[in-house]
Amino acid sequence: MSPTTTLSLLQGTADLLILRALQGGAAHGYAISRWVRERTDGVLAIEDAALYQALHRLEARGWIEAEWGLSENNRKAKYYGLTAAGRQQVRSEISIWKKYAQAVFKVIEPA
Amino acid sequence: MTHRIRPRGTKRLFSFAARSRDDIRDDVQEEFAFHLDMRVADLMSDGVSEPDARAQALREFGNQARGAQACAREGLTVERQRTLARLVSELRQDATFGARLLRRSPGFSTVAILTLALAIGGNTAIFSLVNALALKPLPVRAPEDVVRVYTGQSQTSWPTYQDIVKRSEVFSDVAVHTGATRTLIANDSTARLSGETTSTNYLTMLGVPATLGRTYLPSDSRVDVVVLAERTWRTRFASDPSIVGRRILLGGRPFEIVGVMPRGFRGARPPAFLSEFWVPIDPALSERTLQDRGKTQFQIAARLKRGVTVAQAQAATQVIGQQLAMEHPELGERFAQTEVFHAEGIAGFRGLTKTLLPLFAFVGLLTIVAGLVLLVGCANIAGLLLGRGASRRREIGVRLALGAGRSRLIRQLLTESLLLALLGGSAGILLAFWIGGSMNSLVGRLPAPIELDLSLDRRMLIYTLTLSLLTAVLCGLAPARRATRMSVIPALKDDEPAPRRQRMRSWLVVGQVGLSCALLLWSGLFVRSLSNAHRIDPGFEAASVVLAHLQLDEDATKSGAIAPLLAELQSRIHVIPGVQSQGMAKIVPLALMGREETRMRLDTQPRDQKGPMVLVNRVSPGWFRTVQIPLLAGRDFTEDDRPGAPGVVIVNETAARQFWNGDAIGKRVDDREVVGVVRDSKYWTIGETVRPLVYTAYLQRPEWEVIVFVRTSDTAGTANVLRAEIARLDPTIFVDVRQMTDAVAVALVPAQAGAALTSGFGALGTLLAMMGIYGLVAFTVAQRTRELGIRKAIGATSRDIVRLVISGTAVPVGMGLVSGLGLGTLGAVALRSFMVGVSPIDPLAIAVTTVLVVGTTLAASTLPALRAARVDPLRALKTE
Repeated sequence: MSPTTTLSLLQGTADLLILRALQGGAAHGYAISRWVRERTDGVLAIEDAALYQALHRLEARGWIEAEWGLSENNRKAKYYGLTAAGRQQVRSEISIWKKYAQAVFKVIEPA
Repeated sequence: MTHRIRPRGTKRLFSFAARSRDDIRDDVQEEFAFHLDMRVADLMSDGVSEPDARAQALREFGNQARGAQACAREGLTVERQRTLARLVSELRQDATFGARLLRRSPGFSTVAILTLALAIGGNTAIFSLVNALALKPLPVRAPEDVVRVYTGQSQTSWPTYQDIVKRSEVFSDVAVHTGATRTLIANDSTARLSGETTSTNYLTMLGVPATLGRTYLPSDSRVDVVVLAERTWRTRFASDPSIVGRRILLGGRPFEIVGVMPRGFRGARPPAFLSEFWVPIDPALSERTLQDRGKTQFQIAARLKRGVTVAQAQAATQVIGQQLAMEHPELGERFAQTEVFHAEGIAGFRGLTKTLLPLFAFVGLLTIVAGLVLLVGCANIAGLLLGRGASRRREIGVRLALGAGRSRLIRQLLTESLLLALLGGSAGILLAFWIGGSMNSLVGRLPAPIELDLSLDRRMLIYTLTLSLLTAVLCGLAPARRATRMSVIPALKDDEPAPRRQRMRSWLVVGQVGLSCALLLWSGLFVRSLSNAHRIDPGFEAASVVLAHLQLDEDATKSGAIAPLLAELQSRIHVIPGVQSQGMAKIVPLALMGREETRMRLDTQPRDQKGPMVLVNRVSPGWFRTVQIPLLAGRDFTEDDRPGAPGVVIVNETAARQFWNGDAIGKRVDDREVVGVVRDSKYWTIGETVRPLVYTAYLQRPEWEVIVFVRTSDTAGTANVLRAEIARLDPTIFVDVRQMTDAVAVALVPAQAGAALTSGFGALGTLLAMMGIYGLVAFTVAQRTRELGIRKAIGATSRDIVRLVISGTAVPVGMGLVSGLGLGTLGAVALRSFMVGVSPIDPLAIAVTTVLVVGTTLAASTLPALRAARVDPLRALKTE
């Protein structure tokens, strides 16, 4: 992967990205990290230490739950999945983000 | 992309043990390592060399150490939440399961809950008494700041009070109050009310607003205003909402009702002592007494300034006391010992402790007795639970085999006993209310406005809850530990456990028999003491005497009208048919109404020495004849012993013997001549040892309250005529006419209460012990069915079997009996002051206790023994 200019994330965006990543089903931390990198073509990158912190914080808030499982290469890995509250949270955060982004666009690109 | 080891959710179900801090840190490390390895592998598959790949992975990861720390912190929160959630869900599971089990065995549940209700209820009732007397705060604003001030004694004179108000800087407000009994005339009916005369700032100092109308204020110049207690308003005025502004006659003077205080308000009085009204001190009416520094008649209640402690206030007030002692040397040294202390709690009883000491001791005794009954009850429930544990061996074995942890099972069994204890505790609170009601009705028989505030409060709830929890642990823990300590295989095969499992039950029986034995012994002693109390000669004869308790208002005394009034009354009583003799006295002995005790100086001792304490009664001529206290030497008082005549007294035998070796006539007490000696008689309680008693001549100093004693052949008729005559003489006199035997019966209340309570608790304890013994024997028989069958098969008769089973209880019961009698005797020595004419080692009581215990034991074990005797050998051997 070629190094690209990466943007540092706005506060709270990491949480949204993680939750969105888990909408596709439970995943371990590395898979989430790869998913984010691939979906944003490497523009948005979460520092891995911050990613794990966010995962544990989300778990403590009850939006995701963790359990140990086996990875694709048969190694023990910790899988995270959305809880019912988490699913609710993704939907509301996404709609808030859309509104936010639209508003910002309206400002920076006046019709 | 996931490959689960187990179906979703199952992990949580099986992860019983909470994860430690280290476990969580390891997990985080493992997670990070996995991530880095995966990244390195990915990069390497893109053709990066391993060292470069690892370096890049580490760079991308960022600060590992800080990340790990943050993750572990969050992880710990998660773990805590999970543990809590699990505990709650398990508790709910256990409670549901426990409730189902309790419903399924209603017999066991009913017995257990009833036992606990009685045991916990008894304790809660006693606690509510302690709570009312010592723990409930004084019902005023910021009660912790309200203090009493003693100027070397409980009562203070008006000038001293004024000095304290002027000189002290530690109080924000200082008030005085004093008891006052007045006749209320309202709605064409009269009543005698016990209230308080106070300084005008008293109610505002306490800071409790009136619920109706207003209190009187320091700025009030009117003194003809009265504030009623809620109880007076409710019982005398039918809770009339338009009472404010109404005029009533109180002590013969008109007053306007300005307010009604809230329920439970009793001014600054000690707990349980009600006040029925409050009126301001009328300076005009008592001008003379207000100027006399020697007239100590007020009690000081004050409010501390914000931030001032009791100790500081005491130090500051003591300085004033010392100044006053120097300025007024005629008042003696005691001013220097000025004290300041809290008005609430047990300290509020200061000055009354001597009179109330028996009450406190009695409450202490009750606490112990109720505690013992709770222990017996606990032993019983523990026995029942042990039995259930044994019969649930199989269920518990299955659960252990399936992998349930032992501590988890213990927790479940404890939840069951907790459920029982909470149900029992709730029923116990209801029972405590009922007991409290009967306590108040007993207290209501005492001749004073006393009411215990036994209403439920937070303290009582916490006490009962704590007691229930303790009970649950006390009776549930050992059986639960026992039930879960087993090897699984024999339990599943339904093998019978080894017989030594009953050892614990046997110890429980020893304890139960012992405690109930002690309770029975005490109740035996109290019953004996009660019957003795009935038989004891009080030294006077109350039968055929009618009492008329006259209460005149204070101004009548002052005008000097009382002596002619009483003389007129006596001449009218004289002509009532059937009247044999009459006399007057200030105090009715043994009626717990009034008690006078003072130091009197004897002529035989040096001038500067303090005289001995003596009891006092003020009596008129003819009183000794009327109550049949024989005159042993000298003469009775006569009509000539009037004010102005030389002072005379009559003493009892004990005084004559102790002070003058029996030769009392002509000697002097407090400069009054002893003119007669009478036989000893009881004064305050029936069980007391007679003390020196000095009778002074009532006619030499008539008072506003007096009791007329009339000996008659027709008590009922005389009582009616007496009431009518007094009403005709002066309708404003408040009179209470009754038989002397009724008044004296109050003296038996403590003995009766003691006998009733210990008998009740003793019977309860015995019942519980009986159940315990029955449980033990029935359990043993069930366990030994096969053995008993074999015995029968090889020739044992039914009688042999019965004897064998019953003799099994002999050892624990015998041990319980011996230890119980020992404990009971030790306790009885401590209780001696409550007993009348009974030695702590009373052969009769011991014998009766032994017979009762052995008898009930036999009765309790007979039923299961007979069942054992009917065992069919064939069937017993087949049960496998």
